[in-house]
Amino acid sequence: MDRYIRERLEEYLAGDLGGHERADFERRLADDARAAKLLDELQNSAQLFDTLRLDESEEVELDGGFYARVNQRIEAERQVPFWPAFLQPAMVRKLAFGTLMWLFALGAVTFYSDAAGGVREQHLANHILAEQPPSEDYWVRMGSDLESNRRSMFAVMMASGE
Amino acid sequence: MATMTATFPTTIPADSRTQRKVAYKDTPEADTVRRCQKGDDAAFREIVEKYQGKVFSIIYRIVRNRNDSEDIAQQVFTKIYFSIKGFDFRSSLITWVYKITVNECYDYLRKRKVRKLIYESDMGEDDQRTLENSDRVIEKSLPMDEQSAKRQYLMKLLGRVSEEERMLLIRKEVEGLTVDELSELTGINENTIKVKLFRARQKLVKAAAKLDRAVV
Repeated sequence: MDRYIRERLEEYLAGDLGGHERADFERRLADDARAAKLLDELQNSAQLFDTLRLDESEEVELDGGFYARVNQRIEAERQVPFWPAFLQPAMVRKLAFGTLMWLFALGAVTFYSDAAGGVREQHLANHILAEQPPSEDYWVRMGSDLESNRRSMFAVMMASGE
Repeated sequence: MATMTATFPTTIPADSRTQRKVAYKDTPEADTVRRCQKGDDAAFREIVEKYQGKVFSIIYRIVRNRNDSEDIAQQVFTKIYFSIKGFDFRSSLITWVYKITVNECYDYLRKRKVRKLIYESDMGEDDQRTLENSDRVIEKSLPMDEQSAKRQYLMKLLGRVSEEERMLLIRKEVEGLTVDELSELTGINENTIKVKLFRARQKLVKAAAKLDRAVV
């Protein structure tokens, strides 16, 4: 596109190019078919912006109290950081007390479960032995005689059906 | 409008020459911004009251719905409130506010489109067919206002250019700002503004051609 045309394009599109300059601009345009075509397209797209203009009849005033409504929205969106709450003295005391209680409870549970665990296992073993006394077939005795050991194992396997 | 006698550059000059020296830090408005950055609510109120009309007007031109426009305007100022600490005075406050406003409008249009798609995807095939038929009936009985259709088309085209180009085009074409005024508000020199506008207009033409081909 002719440099002269490009320089004055914005003024021409805005309708600000005056008499002599406008005539000169259009004369040059008539000699440059490509520029004329491009300018035509630019004008068409520029006309689309008319759709964003408002009619004089259209009222575009905001209702009163807009600032208050903006403030409400800000308050709603404001993210208050939660960690400063933990630094309040009352909260620190509560946290310390809660932690101590929790440690005490944890210690008590651990102590009683250990003490009760040994007794419970012993009870279980006695209960199983009392219910099912081991059969004589299972009395495997291992000694230094390998042949005797093998026979014993064989007898156990035969007795259990494997 | 100022007469432009400077030669038209074919390329955007290097950074040092694109910036127009505007002391945005020394304006009375900058003082308000600084107070606001320090957490002064009165300063924020000044900003809201100064720009609320302009912001609402821009949104309404794009969205054409009072309730939604008010909602978006609230969102714009909420965003300004939470991000004004990052405002670095490289442009005027209104340019920054304007960018946020136009971006929020695009966000709204995008969400509206997604909502419509989700709503339609939740429907069964029969419901979708019924909706399509009813849409056709509505289109026949109530053809979309030509202005609305053109506006939608324009918004699609503007979606294909950069944020800065979009802002320059809207301010130039809709608000009727001159190149000189745009230069003053953005801190970019006049020749660069002209180059940017020319490129943005060319992009719109290309986008329109592409969009029209896709429809045909």
